[in-house]
Amino acid sequence: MILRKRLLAFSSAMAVMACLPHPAAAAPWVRSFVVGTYEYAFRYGGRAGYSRPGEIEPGSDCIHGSTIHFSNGEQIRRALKFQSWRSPEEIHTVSTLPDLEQAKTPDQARFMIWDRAMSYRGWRHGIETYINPFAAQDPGQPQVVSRIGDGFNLDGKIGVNDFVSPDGEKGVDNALYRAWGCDAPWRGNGNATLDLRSNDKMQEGLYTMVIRISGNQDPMNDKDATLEIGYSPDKIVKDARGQVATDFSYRIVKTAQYTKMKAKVANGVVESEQVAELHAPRIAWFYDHAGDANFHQGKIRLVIDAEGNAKGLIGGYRNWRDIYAQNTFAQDGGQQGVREHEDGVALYYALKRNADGMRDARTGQNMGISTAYRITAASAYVVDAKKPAEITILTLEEKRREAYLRIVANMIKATTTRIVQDVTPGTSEGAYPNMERAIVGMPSADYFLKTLDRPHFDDDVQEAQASK
Amino acid sequence: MKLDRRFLLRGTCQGAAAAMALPFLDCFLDTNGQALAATGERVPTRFNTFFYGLGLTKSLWVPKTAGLNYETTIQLKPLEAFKKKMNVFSGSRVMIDDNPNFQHWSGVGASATGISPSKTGLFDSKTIDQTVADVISRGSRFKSIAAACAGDPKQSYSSLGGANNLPAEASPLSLYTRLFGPGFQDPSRGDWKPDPQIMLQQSVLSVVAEDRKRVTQNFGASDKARLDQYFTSVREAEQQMAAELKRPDIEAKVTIPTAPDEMVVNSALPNMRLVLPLMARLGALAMATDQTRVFNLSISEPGSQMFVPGDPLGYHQSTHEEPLDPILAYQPRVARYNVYSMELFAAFLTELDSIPEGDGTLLDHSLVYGFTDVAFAKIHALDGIPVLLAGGASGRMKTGHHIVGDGNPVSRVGLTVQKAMGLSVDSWGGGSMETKSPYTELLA
Repeated sequence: MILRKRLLAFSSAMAVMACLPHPAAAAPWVRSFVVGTYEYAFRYGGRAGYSRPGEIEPGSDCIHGSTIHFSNGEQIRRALKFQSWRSPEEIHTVSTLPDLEQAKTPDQARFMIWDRAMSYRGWRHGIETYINPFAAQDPGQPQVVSRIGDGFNLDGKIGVNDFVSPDGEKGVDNALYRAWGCDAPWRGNGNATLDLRSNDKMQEGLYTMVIRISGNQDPMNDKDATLEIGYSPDKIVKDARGQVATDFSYRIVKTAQYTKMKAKVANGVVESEQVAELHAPRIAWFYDHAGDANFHQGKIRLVIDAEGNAKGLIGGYRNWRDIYAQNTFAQDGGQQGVREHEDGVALYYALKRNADGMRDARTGQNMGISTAYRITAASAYVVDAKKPAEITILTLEEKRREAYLRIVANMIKATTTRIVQDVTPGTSEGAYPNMERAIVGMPSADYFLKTLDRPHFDDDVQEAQASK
Repeated sequence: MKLDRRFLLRGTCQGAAAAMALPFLDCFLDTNGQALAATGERVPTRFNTFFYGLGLTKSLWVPKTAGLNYETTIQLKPLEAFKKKMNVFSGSRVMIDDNPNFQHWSGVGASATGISPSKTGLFDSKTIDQTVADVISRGSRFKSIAAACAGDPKQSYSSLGGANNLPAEASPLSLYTRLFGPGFQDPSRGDWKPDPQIMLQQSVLSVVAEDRKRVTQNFGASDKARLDQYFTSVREAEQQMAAELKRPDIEAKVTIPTAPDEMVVNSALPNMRLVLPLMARLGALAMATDQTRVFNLSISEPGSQMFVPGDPLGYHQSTHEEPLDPILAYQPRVARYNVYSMELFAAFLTELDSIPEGDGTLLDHSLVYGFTDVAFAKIHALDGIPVLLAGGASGRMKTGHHIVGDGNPVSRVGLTVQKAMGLSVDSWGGGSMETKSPYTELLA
């Protein structure tokens, strides 16, 4: 009887022990990913199912909808009237293009004339606008009015301009969203033009971003994990449906666009420490402007799902002039403007106005703007290469990258010294020589050639001028 | 009495001999209608390309089901009449490897050569029409002909590789003059005779032939290679002249029209609707009379500048400026332009299909490779680039299928084309797009 009771007690004890949660066995673990989409974390506030022809609908984020800069003659006229040196007749002719139908390709002529005109909006004749945005009047940029936004509380404070995250976290710093979230090419419910385009180019092979998380405890709960983010020279593998394929191997480059940081994992949510500088690939859709996104006070948060895929945010303060340059000179300022209905000048002032970090002790100006980028990533194997891997160099595109870097250098010099800088050759900035080609055959071609400024290069570099 | 295509009705008229040719009759063909009865030579299979810029809208053109009997989609509706005479390829991919995505060019280069281009505006190798022409064009007056309906001779996607693009005829009149102007002799006429001018030119080439061997003996490798390339083109000229000294092997039941008038040729859609049928007709007649066996027709540059008068944006700008409709999830204005391109393609096929030939039509004895520059123009995407293939290639191509590419390289279609055209080729393309896998299910 006693034995039976002891056996019963023992069995009961074993049963209770079996029901208690066991601490996971400590063992090294690695989870890694290849990034499939990479976008600014702009929260779309439009209503589903609401449509107004030709426009992305208004919403709680942007009460007037997306930007419509340069979308029609009236918008062009508004932009031109700020330049007192233009005659009323010139403003009328450029904005209405009376003999456009006689151009061989009217749409191209319209596009190039407006591109050229919008590239010269300085306080005097001959100042290229996108290199010298300070020299043009602020045309105004609609800003995000919503209080809900994605991102991180980077400064540990709760400010009046901060957002509240969808999860209720206060003090979210994402001033880039405030400044730029209504911008047409970046606003949409999964269909923003430049989100689609930059993701397509990344998946096509322009660059590859990988993430590797490792630890010694439980992959779902580890207080001492390590997170690495960086560039891979291996192109993203897609499956038959055109989606990013899972479980392929990618090498990681550790010499540039790379950061290793401590992280904690709690219930599958990975949260990195905040590091002084977080290097990772930047959003790009051309080789010229691809490169390092340097997030100051940067951090990463990822949620890993049951399939082993991840989504989350990478954030920090980025130099706002870098963001301006990487966006505006991806093609040329006028092209971004007329095609995407975005005004680089408005963007310049909006970024400057909303800059909220990286204070320059000497000038007292904020050089950075708080940001967050949204990531989705597929399960992958991120491996150290036997031979050190490096960033892929496309020799054929290096000339264009050099031209891009020259124009960016001129813009930074111009905006920091407020001394007007010239257009540098090798880009299509100012629609040169594309406008000259597009207006052939128009009766008013000579008028536009005389009236509209253009970059002035020596004859030999004019010939070498490349256009995208 | 056995007649052949060269039979002449003879007689005397006022004391002089007279002869009159017969039109092309079915009795000239064998019982299958596939070969000329007298010589046993098959009716030649012709090859065509059709280029249109800016692709199609995926949700509106890709059929929902694969294989035969797929439901025609909105953007393929203009081609409905040819559904059983064509194949549709979705899900094809252009791999650019370590080359840049040259906007509007990478897709053109890859579709035409199977190789991702390393320079914008240039093909990295001979284009598919020239590869095919090398094999099938022996015996025709022109190795190939290109025509551009929008009036720009640069809108030709026919090249010997590198900078050696072959310019297009840019108006119906120039195309007519090239094909049926000086030097043309209607093969159905009884008074056909070799052109003395051609005979003279050929004899000059024969005279220098010996000298060319002597000259090249002491040259270095690069000069030899350059000269070899040069003499290859000379040899091709010789072959072409030889062809011109011989009456074409086939004759068709066609009438060569008079020269068209000068007309406005540009990217305006109403003009293109007038110009394309004329050019297509001339190309079809040229193939029917064996002036050429390869005809390339384009309606635009990559990044088409087609426009409807009154539309300030036109086609290309619309792809950039028109937002995606939040409900429809596509660009409605762009979608309309997509359909205009397909209507023009249908007009081309109509001309080919209107010429009876043996047991079918010229289209049945042709293959038409319809290709474009992008899959989704707004973002210059290359994944899912559309390819359309019309014609039965004289029975060597099964038709009526929707082939789902599943991300396979677009070069698979090109290899299939070459197999159907009877080329002895095992692989095609370069880099990640090199393939040894034609769509064998389509090859008869």
